[in-house]
Amino acid sequence: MNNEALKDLLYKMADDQLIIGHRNSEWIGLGPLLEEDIAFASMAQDKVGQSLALYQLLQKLGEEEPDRVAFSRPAKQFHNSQFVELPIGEYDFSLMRHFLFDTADYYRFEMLITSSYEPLRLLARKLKGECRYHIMHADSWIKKLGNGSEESIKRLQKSLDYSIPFALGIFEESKLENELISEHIFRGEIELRERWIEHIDAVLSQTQLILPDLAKESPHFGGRYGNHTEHLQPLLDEMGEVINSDPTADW
Amino acid sequence: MIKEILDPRFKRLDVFKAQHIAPTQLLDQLPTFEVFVLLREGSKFQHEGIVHAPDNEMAFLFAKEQYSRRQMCAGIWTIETPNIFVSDYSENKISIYDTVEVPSTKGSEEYKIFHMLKRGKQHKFAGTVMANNEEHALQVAKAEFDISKPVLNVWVAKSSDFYESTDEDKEIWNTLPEKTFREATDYKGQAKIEAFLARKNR
Amino acid sequence: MYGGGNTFEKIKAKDPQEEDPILLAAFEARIERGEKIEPTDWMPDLYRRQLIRMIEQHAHSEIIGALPEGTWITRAPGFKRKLALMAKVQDEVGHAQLLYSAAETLGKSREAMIDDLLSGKSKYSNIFNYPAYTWADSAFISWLVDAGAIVNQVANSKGSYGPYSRALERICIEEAFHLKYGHHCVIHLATGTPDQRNMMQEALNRWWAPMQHFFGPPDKVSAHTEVLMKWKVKMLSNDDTRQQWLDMYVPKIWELDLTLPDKKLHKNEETGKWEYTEPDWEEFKRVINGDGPCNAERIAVRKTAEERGRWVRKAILSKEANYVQPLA
Repeated sequence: MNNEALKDLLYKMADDQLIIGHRNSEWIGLGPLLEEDIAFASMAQDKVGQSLALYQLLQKLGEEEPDRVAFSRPAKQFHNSQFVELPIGEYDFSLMRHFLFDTADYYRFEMLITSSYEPLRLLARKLKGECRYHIMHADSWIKKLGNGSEESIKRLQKSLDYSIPFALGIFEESKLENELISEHIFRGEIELRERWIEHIDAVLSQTQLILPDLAKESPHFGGRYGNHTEHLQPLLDEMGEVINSDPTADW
Repeated sequence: MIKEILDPRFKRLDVFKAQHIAPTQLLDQLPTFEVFVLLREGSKFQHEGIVHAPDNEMAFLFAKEQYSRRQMCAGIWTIETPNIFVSDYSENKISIYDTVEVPSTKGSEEYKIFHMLKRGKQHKFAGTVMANNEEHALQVAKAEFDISKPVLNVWVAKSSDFYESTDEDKEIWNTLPEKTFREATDYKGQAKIEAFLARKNR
Repeated sequence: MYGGGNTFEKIKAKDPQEEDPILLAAFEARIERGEKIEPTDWMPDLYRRQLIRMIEQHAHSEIIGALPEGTWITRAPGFKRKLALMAKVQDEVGHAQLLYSAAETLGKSREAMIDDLLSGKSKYSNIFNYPAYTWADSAFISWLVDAGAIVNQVANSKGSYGPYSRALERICIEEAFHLKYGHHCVIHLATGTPDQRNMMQEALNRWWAPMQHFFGPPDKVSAHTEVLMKWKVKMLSNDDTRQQWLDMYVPKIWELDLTLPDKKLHKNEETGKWEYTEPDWEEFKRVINGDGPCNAERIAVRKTAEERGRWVRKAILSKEANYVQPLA
């Protein structure tokens, strides 16, 4: 098994989950409806929990323990897509990000159910149900708001247009993409993107929203290899504020 | 009054700009849906509470997190509140069914029946009947169910008004038992206290 | 979290002596028998209004309490704390939902309750008008403020109103982990590095006075206490809840070699009661009426959240929607 390729995949997945989970947790207590606040908070916990499980797999491959890995790397050592580090904005953006990211997430885990790397295969199988709820929730909201009012349609269209280049950045191929595919660890970003397009297209076609022509969009690549927006380092500084005030302390 | 906002989330928002316009109209918070939960296979659906939601589908999504976030669940039903017919309340040893007549016709639509057996306890699913309206449903229930124990209050509603979670939906609860960070047993501090006291007394 | 029901103000309601004596007697007999009152039962006007106010204020305390607690979510040290604090604050929001729902069964809409919170007409637990300066403050709230709330909630869960009683039972089950988590955090700080210990001690010093206010003024100055206890709306007096909390938690605080800023605080072994310096009730009145360090911010944040969410709620509301009081 090509450990380097494996770690490449695991790091980007773990970092994506951690950063989006962290961002979504910023909504706790501030949601547009109590019931939605509660639901969104659960999904944020799911994502952070998933990141922990992935960092634990990395630890078994020789990386440091999860708290250290997650809380003390600087931005240029993070492998998340730029999409997930963007500020939460208003609820239209956060819901659109939830829809676009979680759909990719669902199909990524679905594809990993046949991974040659057993721990990942088992994890993917386990998380399938959780991820299913996430896309049920996202699809439902996009359909409601994508048909709801003039304002909700306008807002979501704006968020969709803004998000698409960033969302396409999720599918940045690994430097070891060939190894991942040839060793059957993961069937690759191109196939994942196809499944993603099929799903989001199907949902958006049930709304008044228009999916931009993806062929004309310029994906925001770079996140997978440490090139991030100005938003990531402040996020990490905040996240690590207490634990890094004394890394030797037991909190 | 402290001027400095301490929460980094609120520092990023312009919180003092908000001018709340009172939502004097009802339904800003959306209508309510009653939620019934099946705790495990073989048990009976029971009422848990409400969610505010725009429709049954979202009510289910909200109910899953509000009413089955901490305990395992095998199914959820939701129904908009006005769709439930509520019988009178009877007093203790008397059953609602005592004053219900025997049915004289057959029914053509399915209704779900829920019984409250004790004040303070939630309504529990008692079964379905074929009936033509809610009063008729009570009559059919009297004829078909075991009502030896007095029933203090009955809820009746058309099955078609419910949203019922499916077998495929069950997998959404798969990982729930592993979320031990939400359980008291995950936070054992006694050893640390004892080690501390031992150090102190040395 | 908080549900003591004590206030300085009397409620405007029909005098129980003006209610139908037969209905009133049947109502009181039911309560005497230990039976629950359900939403469609006849109830005195004062019972209904007092319950609405009590449950509503409890709900407001939960949603506002989520704010100082939530301050530290993005900065929680490590995965275990991060996940736990997310879950805990989420629970507070969940409890608000449960409590608003219970109050709705008595005839007040959630919109009206939110309006009253934001206009300042309805109150919430005063302790949340104080700032959570450090991680240790967060630990204090999670352990000791929750502990105070639990004493109230366990007692009131045996109260007479069915929906409130059921909501409280559910809340008590969920709160179990809050308390253990909070204590776990405090233990780690108190037994940790000198900086951690100092942070915890400092937080204790600052939060002690607000915590003594938490249980409300001595019963002899609280409005309606007597009738509320007869009707099993309020199950323990303010003094009793304070004593219970002191008895359970002061020894645990001292066990960690932490001190408390009240030199008079000690348990009188003869009477079995804790003695302490009487809290400053004028300060309590001032803060609860708007003059605390964080009152303005708490309400401003809630207003912002409600306003920013308005377009969302409006967009998904269907034209055929109908409001009906929830059932139970």
